[in-house]
Amino acid sequence: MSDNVLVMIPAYDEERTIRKVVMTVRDLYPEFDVLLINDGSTDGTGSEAESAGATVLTLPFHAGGTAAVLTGYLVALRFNYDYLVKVDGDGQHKPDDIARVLQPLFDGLSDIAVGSRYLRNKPEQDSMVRIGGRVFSSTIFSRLSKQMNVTDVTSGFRAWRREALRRLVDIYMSWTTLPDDSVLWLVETTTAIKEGLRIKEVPIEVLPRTCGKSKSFTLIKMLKYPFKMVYTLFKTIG
Amino acid sequence: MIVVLERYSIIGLTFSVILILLDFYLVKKRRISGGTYALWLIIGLSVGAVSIVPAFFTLLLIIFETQFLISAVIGTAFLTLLLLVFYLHYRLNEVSDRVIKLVAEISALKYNFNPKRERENEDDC
Repeated sequence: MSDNVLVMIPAYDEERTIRKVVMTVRDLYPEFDVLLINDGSTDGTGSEAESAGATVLTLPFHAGGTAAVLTGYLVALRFNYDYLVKVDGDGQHKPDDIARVLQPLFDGLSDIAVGSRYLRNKPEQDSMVRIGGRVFSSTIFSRLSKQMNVTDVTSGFRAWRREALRRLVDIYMSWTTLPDDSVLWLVETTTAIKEGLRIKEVPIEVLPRTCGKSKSFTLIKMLKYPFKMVYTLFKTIG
Repeated sequence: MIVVLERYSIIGLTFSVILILLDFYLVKKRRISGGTYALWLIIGLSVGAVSIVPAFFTLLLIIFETQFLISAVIGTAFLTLLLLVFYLHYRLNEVSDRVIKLVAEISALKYNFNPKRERENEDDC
């Protein structure tokens, strides 16, 4: 396994879970570097992560998930990491799955690897919200794009090869507007496919949130989501 | 069947169409974010829907306790103001995205500590 891997954990107000996430990643993969991108947290997220052994990069204010992820890309490129993996700071992604997500990249099978929640779970095990989410964001979207064979376009558990990161960063920097946090992965998946980058999905398990509330799915965000999907279609496919 | 629309309905519908078309144009040109696009699409559709329902204006009459229905002039002024807000929102959107890109670039450049390099140095000692 290559040791030139950066594990990035973008986090905003995750002080209750971040220590465990960082420690588990460090215990399981001592050869990897762990970078916490503290997105202007108002709690002790940064100090908790630092004391757990991560290096912490704090954004000057709460700039949002897209800014945090873009920062991670730029750091990985600047310090010549061959691979970048992103896991959530809320403890929903299992650090054990990092190796599985990285494997297709190490094997040269893909440029981007995406952890899919739906390859492992049987439909009947899912909640109605998850089934709805899958049908809406993945199936409909995939069929519209006609090129995608991705079951979980919104998954944030991902890994990139350096070359893929370079291409994506160039694209993002050339756009007038960056994708919203809620559709970032959707935009990235479609853009990557359009750019000819190879995407490979691997099954992962997503754990239920143990602390705090999801920042991705507030009522307003859920109401706006279908419209943003159309926007994504315009932006990436149209 | 010929539907005769009131003046305010025509103004409202025209505004709604303009807003939606502008919204689509800007999103197609990648000039506005998904959130801005979604918000103004909802507003455009709502204005259109409200404009063709006369009961809404009667409701406003009851709420504001005015003697007359809202005039076409007031309606036009309100919609123009809304268009101005749309323009400002669009500009704000543009600026905030530039700021976000700058934040990401500056933060990445300021980040000087490379754990791997540091660890390698420790091994050398």
